[in-house]
Amino acid sequence: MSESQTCPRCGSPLPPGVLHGLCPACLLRQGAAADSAGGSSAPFVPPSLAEIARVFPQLEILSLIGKGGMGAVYKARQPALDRFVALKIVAPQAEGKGFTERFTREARALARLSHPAIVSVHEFGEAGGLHYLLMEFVDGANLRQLQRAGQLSPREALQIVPQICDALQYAHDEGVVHRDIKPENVLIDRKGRVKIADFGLAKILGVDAETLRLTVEGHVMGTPHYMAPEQVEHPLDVDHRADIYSLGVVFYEMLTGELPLGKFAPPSSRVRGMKLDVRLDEVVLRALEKEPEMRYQQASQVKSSVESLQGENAVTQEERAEQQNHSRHTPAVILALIWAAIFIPFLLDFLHHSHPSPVTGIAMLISAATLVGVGCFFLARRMARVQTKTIILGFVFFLIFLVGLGALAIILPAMQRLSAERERRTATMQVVEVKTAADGIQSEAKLPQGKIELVAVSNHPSTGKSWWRAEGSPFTGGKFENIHSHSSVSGGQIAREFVFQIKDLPADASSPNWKFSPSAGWASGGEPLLQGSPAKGYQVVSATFPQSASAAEVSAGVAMGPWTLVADTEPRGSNEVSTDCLGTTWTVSFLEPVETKDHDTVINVACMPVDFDTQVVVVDLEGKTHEASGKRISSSGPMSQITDTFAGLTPAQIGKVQLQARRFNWVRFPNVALEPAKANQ
Amino acid sequence: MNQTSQATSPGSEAPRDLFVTTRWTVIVAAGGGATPEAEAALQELCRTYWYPLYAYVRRQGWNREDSEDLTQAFFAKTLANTDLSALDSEKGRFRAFLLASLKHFLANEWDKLRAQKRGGGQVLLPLDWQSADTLYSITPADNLSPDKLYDRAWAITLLERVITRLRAECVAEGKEEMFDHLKDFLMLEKNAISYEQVAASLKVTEGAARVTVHRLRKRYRELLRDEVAQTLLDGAQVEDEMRALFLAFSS
Repeated sequence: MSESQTCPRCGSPLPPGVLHGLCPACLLRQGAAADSAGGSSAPFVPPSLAEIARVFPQLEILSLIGKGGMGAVYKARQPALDRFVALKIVAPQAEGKGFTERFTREARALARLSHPAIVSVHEFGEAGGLHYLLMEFVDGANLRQLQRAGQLSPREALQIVPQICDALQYAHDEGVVHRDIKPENVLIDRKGRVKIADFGLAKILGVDAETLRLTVEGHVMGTPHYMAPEQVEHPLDVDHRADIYSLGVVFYEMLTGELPLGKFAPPSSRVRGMKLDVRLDEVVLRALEKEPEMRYQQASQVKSSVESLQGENAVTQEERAEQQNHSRHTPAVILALIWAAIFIPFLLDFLHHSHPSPVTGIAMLISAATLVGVGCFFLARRMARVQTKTIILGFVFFLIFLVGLGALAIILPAMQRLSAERERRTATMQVVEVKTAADGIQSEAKLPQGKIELVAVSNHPSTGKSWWRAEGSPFTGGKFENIHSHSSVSGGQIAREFVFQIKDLPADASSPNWKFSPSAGWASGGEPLLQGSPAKGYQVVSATFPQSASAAEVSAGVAMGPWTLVADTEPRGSNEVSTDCLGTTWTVSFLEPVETKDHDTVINVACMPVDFDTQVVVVDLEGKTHEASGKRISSSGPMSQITDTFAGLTPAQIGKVQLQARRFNWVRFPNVALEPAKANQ
Repeated sequence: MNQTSQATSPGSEAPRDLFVTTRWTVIVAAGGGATPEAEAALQELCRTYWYPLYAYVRRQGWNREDSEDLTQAFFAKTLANTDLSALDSEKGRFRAFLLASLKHFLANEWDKLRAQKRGGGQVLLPLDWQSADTLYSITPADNLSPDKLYDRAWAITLLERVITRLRAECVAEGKEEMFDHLKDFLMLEKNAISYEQVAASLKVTEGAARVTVHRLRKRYRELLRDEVAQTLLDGAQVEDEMRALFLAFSS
C-alpha cells in the first residue's frame, strides 16, 4: 500500500499511478470553465474563498462582497489588529502592458491619501500571482443601492454632495484624480458618512471608454455615462476637472433619478414631488459643462455653492413658498390649529375606546362642523369678489355643511366598528402599554414574557455624571457607569445614555432593538458598571437627540416565540425571492452558499424590511433543521445582511436554506426626561 | 425508438457536430440491434470504462475473483444483448446507464451466473485484472459509497484518456517536454498562473508563454468535452455531466 496523497490545491485524494500525477478534481474544475476566445478577454471568475485564504494566510477571508470584470472584493478580518478589511483583487485579465509598474506607482499614491471620506488603502502588493489592495472596510451601502432602495431624496443629495466635494478637493490637492466617480463608488457608512472607494483605480487598470463599453460574458461592465467628454476622448489624459463633471452627473442623478443624457432638462424640472431651487440648477449645470474651462475649477467651489443655498434655508421652493404663504394664510393656519387642538384629542379618545363618551361624539360633531364652516368661509372669501354670487354660494355651503353632518352620522358608527376591530388587531400585534406607576413614572414595561425597566438616564459619556429616572427625579439606586461607549457628538445635538434592566426574558428572545424619537443620529450600546462592577442583566444604550429636545420617546423591541418561514431556496445559485409574510412584503436575496476550507458552509442572505427579527436556518437532505453556529446581522439602509455559518455542513449536504422571521414586541417609554428635573439640580 | 430519430437527426437535437457520431449515439441509434458499428462502439466504451464497474463491485464487498467474474459476466450480457429499456430514465448518459444496468444485474442475475463455471461460454474482453486489483487496493477510498467510488473512478478513467490523448498530440508535434512542463497548469485557475515562471522554464518570452499555456488549456478542454460527449446522447448535457463528475470529488 502506498501512502495516499492529496492535492495541495483542493484536498482531493490523488489517484496513484495515473494522470501523470495530476489532480482529477482540479482538472475537471478547469475543464469545466468556459473556453476563452483570447488570452486577455477571458471572463474574470473571482477566486474562491478557499483560494484567497490560501494566498492570504494572515487574513480570515469572510465573504465575497463584490465582483466585476476588473476584479473582486472580499470582506476579511485581520485577526492581529481585530479589524475588518476589504481585500480587492485585480482581475489578471485587467493586467495589460506595464501593469505591474503602474500598479505599484499608483497604489503608492493611493496609500498616501488619508481622509475621513476616502476609503483608506492599508496595504497593496502581489501575492500568489494576484495583485491586491487591502483597504478599509466600510459597513454600509453605496449610492446605487440606496437609490434602488428609494433611500435618496434631493435632501440627502444635498447632505452627501458637500462630503464628496471635501474628499475630492483633498485628493486633488494631493495630485490624485479619481477618474471613475459613479454611484457605485460612493459609499455611505452606517453613521451616514460618505466614503469614496476606488480612488485612482481606473488609472491602475488603464480603464478607458472602450473597455467600459466592452461586454464581457453578456454583462455590460459599465457605461461611460459618468465620464467627462474629454475623458471619453482621452481616458487617461485628464485632470481633476473630469471628477467635477462626474460629480455633476452623480448629483444630477441623485436629484432626478435620471442621467443627464443628450440635451437634458435642468434638475428642477425633473424632480417629482418636491420643487428644487432653480439656483441649484445652476450649480449642477456648471459642474456638467462640456468644456473643462467652463466648469467649477475646484471641488470646494461646488461645495460652497451648495452650502450657500442651504445656508439661506432656500433648499426647496416649496419651503419658501410655504413661508410666503404663511403670512397670507395666517388666519387659516391659526383656525386649523385650533380646530386640530380640539378635534385630535377627541379623535384619539374615540379610537382608543370602543364606547366613546357622548361628550366625545358631540365634540367631534362640533369640530367637524367647524372644519366645514372654516372651509366654507375661505372658499367664500376667495369667490366673494363676484358679489352677486355670494348669497347663492352661502346657500350652497350651508347645504354642504348639512351633507357633512349627515355623512358624519353614517361614518361614526362605522368608525366605532373599526375601532373595535382595531382593538382586536392590537392584541395580535402585541403592542404593550407601559405601566404607569403611582408617582407617574413610566418606567417598566411588560413583554409577553418578561419585562423591561428603564432604570436610569444620564448625559453621555456617563462616567462620573449623575443619573436620573425617566421622569427626571434623581436615581438613587447606585452609581452607574458606561464603559466602551464614547463617541463624539456633532454640534446641535445632545447625547444621553439609558440603562435598562431586562428581566425574565425567555431563552429564545432576541436582544432588544432600540428606537428613539426625536432621534438625531446614532444609537449605540456599551457595558454598564454599577458601583464599579459589571451590572448583570442591565443594558446601556446611547443615543443622540436634537439640542432642543427635553423629552423623548424610547422604544424597545424584543422578539420571542415561534419563527415564521418567510422564504426558502435550494442552496444552488443565487436567488431573489419576493413574498408576502407577516403582513408585509419581503424581498430576500439568497447568495450561493460558500464552502469554507473547513468544509463548513457560510450563507449570505440580504432581506427587506429590517423591522423584524430574522434568522437563517438550513434543512439538510434528511430533513433535519440546523441553526447557524455563527451569526452576524448588519443593517445597511433598508436591507439586513445576514451572514451565518453552519459548522459541519457542506453546501452539498443542504437541501433547503430558509429565512425565518418574527415580530418585535415593542414597548414604549413615552416622555422620558432628557434633563434631570430642575428641583434636583 | 424515440432516441433513434433524435440522435441521428442532425440539427436541433445535436447542436455540435461531434454529437452526430459519438459512440453512445451509434449504440442507441442501433436500438439494441447488432450492427457492426454499434457492437464496435459498445466494445470500445466498455473497454474504456470497465474499471469503474469493477471498482463498484469490489466496493459492494465482493472479493477480487468474484468481482472479476461479475464484471466480465456483466459485459458479456451487455455486449450480447444491449438492453436499452433503462435509457429513458437515465437521460442518455452512458455512465448512468451502465451503473443502472450493473445494479440490475447484480440484484437479479449474479446467483444464476454464480452457478455457471467461471468464464464458461462467455464473451471475454481482454481486461487487465492485475492492474485493476492493484489500482483498487491503493486507491484511497475512505468512507466512499460504491456509487461515489464508481463516479470517481469513471472521472479518473475519462481524464486519463483525455490526458493521454493530449500528451500523444504534443508528442506527435515534438512538444513532449513542453507538455511535461505545462501539464500542471491545466489544474490552476487562469489568474493563478505565473507566466514569468513559465517563460523562464520554457526559455521563451512571457507573451509566448501565455499563448502556449492558453493553447494547451484550450485543447485540453476540447478533448475533455469530446470524451464526455462520447458517452452522451445530447450535446446540451456535457456541462451537466462534467458537473456531476466534478461532484464525485466533493467529500
